[in-house]
Amino acid sequence: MADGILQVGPLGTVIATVLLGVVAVLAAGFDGAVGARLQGRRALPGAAAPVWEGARLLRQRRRTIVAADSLLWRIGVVGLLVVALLKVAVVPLGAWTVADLSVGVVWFNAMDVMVWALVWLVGWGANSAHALIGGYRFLGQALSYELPLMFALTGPAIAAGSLRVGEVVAAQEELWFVVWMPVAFLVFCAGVVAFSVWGPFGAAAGGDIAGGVLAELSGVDRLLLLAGRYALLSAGAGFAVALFLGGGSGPFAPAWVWTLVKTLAVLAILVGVRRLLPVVRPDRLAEVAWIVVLPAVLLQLLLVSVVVVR
Amino acid sequence: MSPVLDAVFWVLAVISVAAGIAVFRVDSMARATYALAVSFVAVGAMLLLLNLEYIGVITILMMVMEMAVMAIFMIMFMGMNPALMPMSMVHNRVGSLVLALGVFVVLAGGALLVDWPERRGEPAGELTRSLGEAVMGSKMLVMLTVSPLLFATLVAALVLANPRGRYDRFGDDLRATTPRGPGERGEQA
Amino acid sequence: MDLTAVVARMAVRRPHVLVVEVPGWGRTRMTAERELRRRGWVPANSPADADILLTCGTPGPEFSEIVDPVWDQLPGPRVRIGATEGDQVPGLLDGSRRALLDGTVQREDAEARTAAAGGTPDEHGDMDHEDMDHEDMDDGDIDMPMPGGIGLAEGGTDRDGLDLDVLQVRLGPVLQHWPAGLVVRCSLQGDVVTDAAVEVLPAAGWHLDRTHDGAGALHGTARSESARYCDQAAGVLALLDLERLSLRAIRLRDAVLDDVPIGKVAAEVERLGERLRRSRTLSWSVQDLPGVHERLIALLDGARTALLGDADTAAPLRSPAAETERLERIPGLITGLDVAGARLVIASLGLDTAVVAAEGSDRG
Repeated sequence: MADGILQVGPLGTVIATVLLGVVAVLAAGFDGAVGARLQGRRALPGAAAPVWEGARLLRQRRRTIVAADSLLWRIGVVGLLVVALLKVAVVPLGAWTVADLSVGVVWFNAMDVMVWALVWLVGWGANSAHALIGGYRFLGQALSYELPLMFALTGPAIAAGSLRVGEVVAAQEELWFVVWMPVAFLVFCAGVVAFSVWGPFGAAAGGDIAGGVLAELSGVDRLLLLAGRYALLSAGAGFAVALFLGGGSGPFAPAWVWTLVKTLAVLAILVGVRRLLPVVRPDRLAEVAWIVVLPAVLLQLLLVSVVVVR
Repeated sequence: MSPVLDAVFWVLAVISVAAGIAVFRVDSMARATYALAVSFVAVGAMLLLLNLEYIGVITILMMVMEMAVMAIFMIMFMGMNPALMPMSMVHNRVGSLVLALGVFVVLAGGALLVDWPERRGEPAGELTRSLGEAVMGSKMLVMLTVSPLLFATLVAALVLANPRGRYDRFGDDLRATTPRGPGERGEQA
Repeated sequence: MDLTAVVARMAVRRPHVLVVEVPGWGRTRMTAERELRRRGWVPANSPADADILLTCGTPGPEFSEIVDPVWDQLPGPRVRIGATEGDQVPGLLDGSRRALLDGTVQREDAEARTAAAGGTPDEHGDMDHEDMDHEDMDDGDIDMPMPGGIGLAEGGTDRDGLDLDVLQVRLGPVLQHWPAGLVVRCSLQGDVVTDAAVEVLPAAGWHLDRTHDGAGALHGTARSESARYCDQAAGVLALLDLERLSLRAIRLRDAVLDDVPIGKVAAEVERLGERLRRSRTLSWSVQDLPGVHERLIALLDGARTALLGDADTAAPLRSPAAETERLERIPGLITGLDVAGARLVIASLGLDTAVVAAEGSDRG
């Protein structure tokens, strides 16, 4: 066990869940505010969007679709939220963590591979051409982002000499990894946006296919999936803070405050990126991911390895 | 093992076997594929119980990824829409049953009958590191040579097999400008 | 106050509206979209996402045959409204918010649906035939029961020579950023279009003259012609998810319709065109779709040229023959592309379906 990392009990798990929910709602509120501002309305009422939207979807009826594979569909819908929770389990909040796994970094990676299956299931289960295309698009995109993401995760692990998230945080006491692993950091953030089906990597839920994997979802199912996307973004932001931004380190305030502040800052950028960049069609992404991004991350790893060995 | 861990082990064991059976009992490709994924995830979780964290998590990661990709191929090559059309997941029922039962009996019998040795010494402190050293330590040079070669072979095979790959789209000498779209060549520069 | 009422009140703060445009009522749709934006309501992009179904214009029989099942797919609570004039929209929206809140109305609607389903929700409930328009394919060689009455996909050779499933899918006419009334029947393998056929579903009682009368006509003046170009450019940008640029084009569209001085708007249109011409992200993201970038810029040029002419006089109607020819080019342009590419190509064509709506309809 890493120094100064405490594994919390069941109550801590509940708190972590609530915290993830709060952060996810804040992210949705921020997105609503930015959206309202862009459309020329006041930002503050826009920030309430998640509340109105939540109420709307709770009141809306669920749909049953002819010849749908409801079991697989609902597994996919609920799964994203569960996976986000399982990711947060290894993210330390200051000195506390829900599960101090010796292979925390790999755990996070395994959970984001779960998203492959879940998003595809949402697309498949609905028995709708648009949703299915969304599912295919996500897997096509996943083949492009996953490998760079894996290598980006490897950087901090090599530098810290450990797969334990707490030790990765501890290894950044002198210098945050983002300083000498900027490429890995950027690729990781892009990976987070991609597995959250968000913004430039949101083709699977694209407007051009009537919402793609979202096309047939209504009521509480839709609410769960939308919440799952924000939760994944939040979990990813939290992990980026632990891996690259020194975790809870910072002056004047306790570590958990710093973790939260940094997470919210990263999250704001990840959420805001949606308004800045066009959607990248998966086949456009493939070329860039394999020919530019992958070699760039490998060079970053080479640099990290040389520094560590020396 | 504590009773709780015992119980978890048995639950996982039952899940993995039940999901394995489900692969052949369900009537859709998608369900069969993901039943297999569940079975593998349960096995991965059992490895976690043995404190083999790295191997356990990697098993889950690899298997889910494989199944996600495999599902697409299985479905798209079926020639009909298996979401809608219930279909049997079994071919050569008798032969496969005999084979499966035979293999199961041999493996299970082996596991139960072999006189397993007592543990000598303690597990290493950092299992993942020692695992890596055991696998890679003396063979690092071999691995370093073999893995890029394997990777290059895979890529080369794909490039040759894909009639619309980049060599086609960019011209044989890669001098063509941007490809015009799927199935079309770029203009020679 | 009971909890359900509180939730209901919160739920109708931000209704989602599925807007369906009938050829010839572009102006009404634009007014409706603007009203939604002003209120902070959300344009829905699928029936499942919508609380309100707003039809702009009076659809012909074929069009209605498609819109009615779409209405069946709204999950509920739901309201269906139709507008032919832009100034009806605010009142209709206010009314539908009240109807969404009204427990009695919604309960009756729900009960009527259950009754119509006749206790077999699998057969009639929320049928999903809008997206999955499986053609009947029982042509003898597959003789099996069709689950849910849906035909099975057949195999076919794809562009790499692999034998893959072929799905028959209808794109349109209920889609965002899509030419009004356009229907493209595609054969899809995965998400690649392998074959396509095009038709346009006309409005009720369509005749060429109606584009000249007041109701929903977008062809009155050069200003409206220019607004249509801006609208189409905004559609392409929205498909690319370039939200800020798309909103800019929409603001220009509204400014054109609002009688803002010509010189000012024309300068703005030119600035936006220049921005799009120079945008690296834009040209990169449509690099593999020849012609899309050029046509997008041409749309804005068209908007500017229309304004610089005599903006308030009648603009010449596009010739139906020329538009039909453009429509007929679609299958050739999109075959071999994936759905995303096909949608961008179609949007960039800047089709005016209102002029050709008569072609292929049985009105004679």
